[in-house]
Amino acid sequence: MIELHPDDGPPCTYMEDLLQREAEGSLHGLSRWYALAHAARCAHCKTFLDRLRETLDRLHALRNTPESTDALDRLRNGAWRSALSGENDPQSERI
Amino acid sequence: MAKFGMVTVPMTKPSFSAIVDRELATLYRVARRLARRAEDAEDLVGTTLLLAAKAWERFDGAYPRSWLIRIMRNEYYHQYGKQKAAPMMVTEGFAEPSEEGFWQAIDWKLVGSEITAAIDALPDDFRMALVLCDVEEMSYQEVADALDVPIGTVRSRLFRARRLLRASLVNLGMNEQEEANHD
Repeated sequence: MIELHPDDGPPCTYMEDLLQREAEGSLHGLSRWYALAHAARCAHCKTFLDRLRETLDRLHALRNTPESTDALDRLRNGAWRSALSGENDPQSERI
Repeated sequence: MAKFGMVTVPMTKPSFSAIVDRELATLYRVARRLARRAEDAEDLVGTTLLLAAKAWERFDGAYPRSWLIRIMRNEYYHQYGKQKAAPMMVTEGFAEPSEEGFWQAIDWKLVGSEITAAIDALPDDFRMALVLCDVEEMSYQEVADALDVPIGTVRSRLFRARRLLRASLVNLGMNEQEEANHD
């Protein structure tokens, strides 16, 4: 469970884009410094950033959710194998 | 041939089987989030691989994951008769929580299945952006190729999807809290 900050609230509107990019790790240089410096003195933005990072960690963890090995085995040996050497047909035009 | 600085590196296209081995789990995970039901996801991936195998000789080998997901997404729209991706402003069912208690209402003990259900409830375009960027951790460029939209569109859908997901999780946490209070 996360410790809640007493000043929890929405982030500054003009900062949300930078905070989202910081949370996902795509912010660099001066922009990153600016976002972190702002979050350091703005409780709402700091909390927003912390929660977003935590949400992203949880989303990344979903990748490790085990999927049906039966389904993957069936797909691994599916009809596509016989199509590899076949001729194109009109159905492939959907691509 | 691909050029990296002054060095020219020959590009070899891997075999389709190698691509399937490498991308199958990702493809199936994305299909589960796209089609929602396991049997539909399996059908969708099966058809995708069939279409991709038939088109393999025409594929240039760049971004195979994006290419496969693009085929899968097109097939999904074809199978389910969905309209292609006009930017959506769907907010029904995703009421933003009050600003007070912005994040704190989220119950961080939500199990993965509940988070997954919240993702599944997102509108198609936002769901795909979130799953590809934040679950599969594909780059914006790869996702833009997969969804056939500009990078800026990927980013705006992703940010919007995160807001919707957060709102959904907040509502879920609030509902569970209310149920617990009633018990």
